[in-house]
Amino acid sequence: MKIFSATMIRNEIDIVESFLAYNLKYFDKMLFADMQSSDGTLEVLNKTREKDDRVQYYNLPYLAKYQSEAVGALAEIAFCEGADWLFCLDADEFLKSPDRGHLERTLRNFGSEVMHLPWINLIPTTYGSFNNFDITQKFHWTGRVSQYVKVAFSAQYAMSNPDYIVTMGCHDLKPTLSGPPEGQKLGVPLFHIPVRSAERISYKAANALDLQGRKHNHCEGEGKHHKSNLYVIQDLGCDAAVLNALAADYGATTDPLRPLDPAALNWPTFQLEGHFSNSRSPITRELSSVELRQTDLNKDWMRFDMPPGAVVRGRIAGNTIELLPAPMRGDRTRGPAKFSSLDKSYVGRPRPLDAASIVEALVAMEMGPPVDVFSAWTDLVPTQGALFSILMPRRYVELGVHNGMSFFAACSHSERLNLGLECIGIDSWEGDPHAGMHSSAVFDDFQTKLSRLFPGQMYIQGYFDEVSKLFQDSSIDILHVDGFHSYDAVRHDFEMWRPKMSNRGVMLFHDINVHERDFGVWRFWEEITDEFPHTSVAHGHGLGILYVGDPNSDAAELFQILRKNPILERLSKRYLEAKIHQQHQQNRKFAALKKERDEVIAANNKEKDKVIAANKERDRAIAAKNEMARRLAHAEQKILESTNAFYSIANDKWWTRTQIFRKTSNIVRKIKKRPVKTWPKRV
Amino acid sequence: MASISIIIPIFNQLELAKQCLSSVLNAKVESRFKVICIDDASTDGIVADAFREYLSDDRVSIWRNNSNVGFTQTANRGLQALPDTHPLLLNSDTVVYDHWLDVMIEALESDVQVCSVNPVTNQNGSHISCYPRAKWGEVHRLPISDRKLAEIAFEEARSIFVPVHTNVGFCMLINRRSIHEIGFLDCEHFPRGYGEESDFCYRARKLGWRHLVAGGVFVTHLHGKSFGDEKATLREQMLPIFRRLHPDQTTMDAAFRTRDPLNELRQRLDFGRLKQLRGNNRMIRVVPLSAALLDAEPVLALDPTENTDGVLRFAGSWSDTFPNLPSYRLPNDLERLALDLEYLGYQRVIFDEAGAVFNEIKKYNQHWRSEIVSFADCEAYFEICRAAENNSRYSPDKEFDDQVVQ
Repeated sequence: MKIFSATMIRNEIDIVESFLAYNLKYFDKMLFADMQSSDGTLEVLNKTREKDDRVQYYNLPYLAKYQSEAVGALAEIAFCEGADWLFCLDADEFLKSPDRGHLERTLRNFGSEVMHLPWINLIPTTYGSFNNFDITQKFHWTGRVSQYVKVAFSAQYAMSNPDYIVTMGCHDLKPTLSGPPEGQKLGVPLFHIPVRSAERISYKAANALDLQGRKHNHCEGEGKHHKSNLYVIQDLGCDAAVLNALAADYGATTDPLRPLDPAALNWPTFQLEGHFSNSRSPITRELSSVELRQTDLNKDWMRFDMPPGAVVRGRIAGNTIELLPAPMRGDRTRGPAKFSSLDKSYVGRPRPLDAASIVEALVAMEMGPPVDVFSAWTDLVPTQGALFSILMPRRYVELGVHNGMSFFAACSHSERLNLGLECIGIDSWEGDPHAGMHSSAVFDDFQTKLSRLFPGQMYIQGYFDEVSKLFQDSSIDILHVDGFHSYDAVRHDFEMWRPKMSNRGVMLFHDINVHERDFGVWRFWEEITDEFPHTSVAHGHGLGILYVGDPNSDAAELFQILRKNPILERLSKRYLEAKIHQQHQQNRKFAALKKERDEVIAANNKEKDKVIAANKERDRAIAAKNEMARRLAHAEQKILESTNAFYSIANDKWWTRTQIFRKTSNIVRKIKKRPVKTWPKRV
Repeated sequence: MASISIIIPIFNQLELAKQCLSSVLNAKVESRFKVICIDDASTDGIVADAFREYLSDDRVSIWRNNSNVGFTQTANRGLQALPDTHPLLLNSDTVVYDHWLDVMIEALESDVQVCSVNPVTNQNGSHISCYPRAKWGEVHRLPISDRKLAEIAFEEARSIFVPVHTNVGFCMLINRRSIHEIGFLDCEHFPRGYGEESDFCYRARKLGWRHLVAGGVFVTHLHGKSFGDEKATLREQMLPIFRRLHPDQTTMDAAFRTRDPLNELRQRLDFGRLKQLRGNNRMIRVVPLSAALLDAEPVLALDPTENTDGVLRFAGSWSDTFPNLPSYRLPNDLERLALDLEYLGYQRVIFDEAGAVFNEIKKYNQHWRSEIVSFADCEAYFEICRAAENNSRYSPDKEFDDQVVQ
C-alpha cells in the first residue's frame, strides 16, 4: 500500500522540519506546493529532498491562496505515481497513529474511500518565537476533537469520481464541482498545532487574509477564522492565556474569548513521539515577520487574471504548478486539460468540390438557428452552415460567446451535418463596452441552455490570453473572433491566436461592416486582407472569412476558386444576401401577420370585455332581486313569528286559570257599580 | 494493571448505597479491587456513620466533599484517586452479583482500543444495554430474580462483547489509558451529571476508541433514583448542550435503534432462561397458539395465521416476559429451529392434540415430508430433525415412544 501526503506550504520555518521528521515515518511520498517561501522553508525542503527522495516539492508562483487547485494538482501526480491513499495535510498537522503498520491496517479496514481526520488542537505549554518552536514539549488539549476535519481519500475514489474537488482548506471533498461534500466518517485524528507564537499567528492570519482576498474565486466566509484571530490578538493582546484559548478550539472560538490556563483545568496532555533534531541547521538568516512580509512582496510573482467565479485547475508543469482555466463541458464535467495539435494529414472533403457538396452546403444553409436566442448573428447562420459543410472542420473555437447565438449555431451544425466537431466557447461573461456589461445571469442562461442542448460541447470561462495557453500550436480549424471590437483588441487577438491555427485554419471576424463608435474591426480587416486569401459577407454587420492555413491544403481550394472567379464570389454573396433578404421579408410578413392577429385578438378581447360587463350587470340585477326576495321572506317570517306569538299568548292556559279573577273582579265591579271590563275571548 | 478502583459517588439514599456497597463486597470475584465511596455532602445523614460496619474492610475508603459539587466533579475526584488502576464508575442505586468484575475486565482487555465496558441491566436501567426489551417504557417484572439472571448471563453469554456507540455511566469500567488521552469527565458543560459519560464516550469514539457491552454480566440498576426529581429538568438542560457538542448524536442513536446490535445478546439470555424453565424435560410439544398461552412449561406454538406457511414460536403463560425469542417460518427456518432446539437441550418435538395441529400441519405436509423422520398417525406425533443429520441422537427409540403414547 502506498500512502502519500499533499501539502501547500508557505513560510513555515518554525514547524516544517518537525513536520517532515514526524510524518515521514508514515508516508511513501510527501508532496509539497511551495508558495515561494523565503524564510528558509524552501531550504529545509531542499535539504531533506537531498537526503530522502520521498520528499518532492513544486513551486506555486501565484500571489494568491489557490489551495484547492494546488492540492488538486498534487493529487493528480500522486495518483499517477501509484498512491493508494492521499492525505491532505497542512504543515502544522501530525498524524496520530502508533506506526505505519497501524495506519495501513486502519486504512484497509476503514470501509470507506474517504476518511475525515478530526483535529486534536494542541496547546503548547511554552510558546516559541517567530522562527523557533519546541516540538518536543508537553502539549495540553481540551479532550474533545475539533468540529473541523481534514480529508484523505483513496485512488479508488479519485478513479470513480474523476471530477472530484478538494475544497479550500482541505476540509471537505466533493465528488463533482457543484455536488454536496462527502458525508463525514471519522478516521485517524490529526495533532494540530496552529498557535506556536503570537508573532507567527498574526503573520499567518494577515498573510492568509491577504492571499485569500486576491483569489478570483474567493467566496464569502472562507478563512473567517483568520480575521477573528487577528481581532482577538489586537483586542486582548498576545498573552499566553489568550493564545491558549485561541489554540484550544482553533477556528471555532467563541465570542468573547475567555483566556484560559489548561494546566489549572487539569486538561489531558500529549507529547509527540518522533526523532526531532534538537538544533536546526543554520540554513538562512532568521527574518522577522516585518522583514519577511517585505521579502514576500519583492518576489517575482506570476500574474493570473480570471473573471470572478471561473473554474480553474492546477497542473504540474516541470517544477512548477501552473494554474489554467478549466474547460468545462455542458454537463458541468471537466473537459480535457489541454487541446493538442490537430492531425496535419486530415483531408476534409474529397477534391474537387462536386455538385453533391454544393447541394449539401445549400441544405446546410437552410438550417435555422437552434435556440431562441437572437442577436446580430442570426443573419449569418446560413453562411456559417455553408462554410462548415464545405470545410468540414474538426475544432471550432469562439472568442466572445456572450449569449451563445453563433456558438449554439455551430454546435447544431456539427450535430446536423454529423461533423463530430469539437466546439469550444471562450468568454469571461463579464461583457464589454461594445456588447454592454452584463451580469452573471447571461452566463447562467448560456450554461443552462448548453447543458440541455449540447452537454458534450465545451466552454471556458476566462480571459483570452490566459485561455490561449490551453491550446497547443496548430490546434484549431476554425476560430471565430468576436471579442472586444476595438482595432487594438482585434489585432491582439489575431496575433495571439494566429499560431494556434491548423494547416486548414480559417478565422472568422464579425462586425467588419460596423463603422460607429470605436469599432475597429473594419480597419483591421482592410489591412489583413492584403496578406491572406479571404472572402466576406456584408449583411449581419459583416463577416470576414480569412484563410490562414497552408496554401496547398484542400481547404485553400475554396478560396482559390473564389479568387479566380470574382463573378462566382459575387454570385454566392448575392445568393446569401438574397437569402437573408428573403428571410427578412418572411420575418416582416410574419410580423405583419402577427400584428394582425394581435389586433383581432385585441378586438375580440374588447368584445369579451363588453360581454363580461353585461354579464356583471345582469348578475348584479339578479343579486338585487334575490336580496329583495330574501328580505321579503324575512319579513314574512317575522309576521309568522308574531302571529304565532299572539296565538300562543291567546291560547295560553293562564287565560283559563285566571278567568276566575276576571270574573270575580267584574262581580266586584258590578257590586261597586263600576263599568264592567271586557277581555278578549279565547281564540 | 488489572486492579480496579470502584468509585461510588453517594448523595443521600444511604440505604440504597449500603445495599450497593455490600453487594460489591460480597460478590465473588477474582480480581483485586478497591472501593472509593465519595459522599457528595449528603443531607440525609452522615455516610461515615451509616457505613461504619464497612470501615474495617481495607478495600473500602470513604471520602466526603465539603460541599455539594455535583456528580461529575465527585466522579472526577474518584477517577483521579488511584492513577494506576482502571476506574469503574458505579451508581449507588445498583446491585452487582458474582463474577461481575472478572467478566468486565475480560471485555476491557479483549482489545487494545476498548475504552469503556457496560454490563447488561434491567429494563429502563440504561438506554443501551437493557434487558429484556430494547425499548424504554413499561417495566415487565420478570418471573426470575436478578441474581438468577446474572448467573444465566454468566453461563450463557460470557464470551459475547457487543460494540456500541456509547455507554452509560451507571456501571462503567473505563480504560485508564483512554483517560490519559482524552481527560476526565467534562464538569464545565455537565456540572450536575447526566450526559457527562455519554460525552466522554463520544469524545473517545472520535479518537478511535471503542465501547463494549459485556454480555456475561448483569447488574441491577434501580434507575431514576440516582437523581430523584431533578432528572427531567437535568435531561432537558443537557440535551441541547449535548447536541451542540455532538451533532451526530441523533443519527447515531437512530442507527443504534434500527440496527439493534444487542438483539442477539438478548436472545441468548432469553434462551438461557428458557433452559431454566425446561428443567429436565427433553421434549417439547407443538400446540395451537390458542392453547399455548395456558401452559407453564415451554411449548412450540403454531401460528398459522401469520402467513400461508405458518410460524412456530416458543410460548407459554410467561410469553410476554420473553420478547426476544425468535420465530421460525415454515418450512424455511426448520434447520435453524433444529439447531436452537439442540442448543436448548430438547431432543424431541411432539405433536399432540391431533385434531387441531395435525389439520393445520396437513395443509403443508408436502413441505414437511423431507423433514419428518417418523410419523405415527394414530397418535399424531412426530419428530423434527435435520434429515441430513439422521444420526442416532434424533432417531426414535421404542421406550420413548411408549411413554408418549401413554
